[in-house]
Amino acid sequence: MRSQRKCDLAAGVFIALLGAVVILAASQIRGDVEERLPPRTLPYAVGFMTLAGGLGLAVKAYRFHGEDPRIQWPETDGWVRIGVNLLLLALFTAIMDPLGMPITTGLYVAGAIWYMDRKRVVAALLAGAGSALVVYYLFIRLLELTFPLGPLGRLGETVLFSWDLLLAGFADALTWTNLLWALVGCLVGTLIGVLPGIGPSAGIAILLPITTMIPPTSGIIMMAAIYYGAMYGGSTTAIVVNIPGEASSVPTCIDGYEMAKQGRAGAALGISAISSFVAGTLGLVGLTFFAPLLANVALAFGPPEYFALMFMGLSLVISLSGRALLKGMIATSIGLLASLIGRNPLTGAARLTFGVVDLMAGINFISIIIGLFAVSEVMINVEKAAAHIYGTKFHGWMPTWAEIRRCAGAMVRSSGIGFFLGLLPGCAPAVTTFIAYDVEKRVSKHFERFGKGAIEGVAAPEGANNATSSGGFVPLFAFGLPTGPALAVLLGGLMSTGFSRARCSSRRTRSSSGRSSPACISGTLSSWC
Amino acid sequence: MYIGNVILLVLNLPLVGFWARIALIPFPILGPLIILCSVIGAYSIRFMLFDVWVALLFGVVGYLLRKLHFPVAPLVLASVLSQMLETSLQQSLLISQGSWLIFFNRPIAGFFMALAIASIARGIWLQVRSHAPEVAIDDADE
Repeated sequence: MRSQRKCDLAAGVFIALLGAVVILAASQIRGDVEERLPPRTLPYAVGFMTLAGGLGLAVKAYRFHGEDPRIQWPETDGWVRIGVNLLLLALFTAIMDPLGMPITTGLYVAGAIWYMDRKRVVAALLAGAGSALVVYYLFIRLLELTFPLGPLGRLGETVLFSWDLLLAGFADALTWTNLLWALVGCLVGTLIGVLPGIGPSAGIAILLPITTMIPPTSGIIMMAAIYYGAMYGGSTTAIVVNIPGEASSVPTCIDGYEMAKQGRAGAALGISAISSFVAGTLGLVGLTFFAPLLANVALAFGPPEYFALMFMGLSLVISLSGRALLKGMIATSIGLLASLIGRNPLTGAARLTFGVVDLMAGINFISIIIGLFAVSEVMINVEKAAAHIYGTKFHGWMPTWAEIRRCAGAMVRSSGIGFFLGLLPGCAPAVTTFIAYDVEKRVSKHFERFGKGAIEGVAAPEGANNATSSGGFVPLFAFGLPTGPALAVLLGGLMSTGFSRARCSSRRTRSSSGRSSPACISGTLSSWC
Repeated sequence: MYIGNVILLVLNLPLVGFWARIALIPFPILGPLIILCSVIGAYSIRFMLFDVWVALLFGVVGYLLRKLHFPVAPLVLASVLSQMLETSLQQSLLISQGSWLIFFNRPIAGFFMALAIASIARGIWLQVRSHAPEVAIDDADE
């Protein structure tokens, strides 16, 4: 199975079978015939799309005669390494409940390091113990996430209590200036954002209790700092290790990781920070001048417009896959398929769950992202028994002036795209970053560089990501209407520090009466501080 | 907000070197740490082990997709948007009483739909003209 043609043939047949299974399963869905959109329609549509894509791929591969690219499958020991690593990971998950998270973590990390490199016994033990401690302190004690504790539960209460007092003492000593809080917020936000799956919204939500303990002004500044820090942290891992922290940094992976492999991780990280900063500045300028005008445009968006916008986003991304259009379509239908599982969002009826209780709650897209990027990235590296993620030496910590100038256009364009799309409630940053990347690729004179480490390909999604959040402040300040989960959490935090919703709604009456509302401006001013 | 923005730039430009150095950690150590971060991330979504198993399954799916040169980005975007897409589709059809024309006779929606159809049509046109095998050019791998 080393030939691309045979693999495509097999994959096509398999995917077509999958589509057929979905169609069969969809025919079992019971539902009201009276509904506008019968519950079977979408599963049927996605099933037929999968079937057609698979058949198309198989037929195309069958009829293809020409130069046949080879697929680099791993050697036997590569398969063994992948298998053992998967087994370790499965074991990790399986024993997490009885043994508790910290102990399991230590065992897993030490075991996996030892398996991959027998000489690093000391490093394995240290890393195992270290990660167990970090998991215990950072996630269980400090952030109070409810991981299974196992036998550690009772022991920890008594022995480690004094340590916590010491840590609390440090925390007290640090409450001096707002700048310091912002610094802390940025740092903690970045650390949290580095974890895949914990994006800005979850980051703020987890750290919200901390921000309410300090004076209101410091609290607001710190929250904003956490927000930006978490977004930046997500792109950091996207660039350095090809793991997007959340959906919106997926486009950053494409060129950012490529740059990192060429030894230019520093430049990619630098341009990402600069582009975010420029887009944030432009976005705030836009917010100050256009807020009252634009708020009304955002209200003209009804469900049909949202559907069309998202449909366009999807089609753009499929057509972005260039020559592999069928494969792009198949990938799309697998994504749709995965999220069809669970409940119908309007009626709540279960579908495609095959009677499995866990499937009733649906599949969360964040675990899909984590699996697709982080886990598969590790598997790719395990297969090669790589000593490092990429072998090149680093050169150029900072982007050069020429590169920054080259990105100027990308920064301005992506700020515009991000800001205007950010005005729309419910428009996820994921859509805007994908669209910004696509636009940049189409505008560029050197589109062939995209996907091979083009610095504009990093600047565009990063800028759009930041500008989207600036744009989101328009409806937030004008109507008290958050455009996304992150802003909703932020609004909650703002309200708890005295930014009252009443002030937001008084703004609403003024701005709808057509006057350029002073309250709206005061809202924007507070966003500058 | 703006202070946060400035501080992030001031803080992170010097730290760029530090973050980039993460990649210099030998893989046998970095790999398990990446997996650990992934497991924590997946588990803390809803505090369900089920989500970790899903991440594991999609790890295998992602590996195969990348080996077979499938683009991964559409899968991600589709899974993110699917719920919103379906909700707004159902709401639109309620508004229009079942007519699909609602997506074409409203100016903004019509504009987006036209763009979408044009980009797909262009893709199919390019596809028909070239006889190359299906290999994603945007694949982050290789």
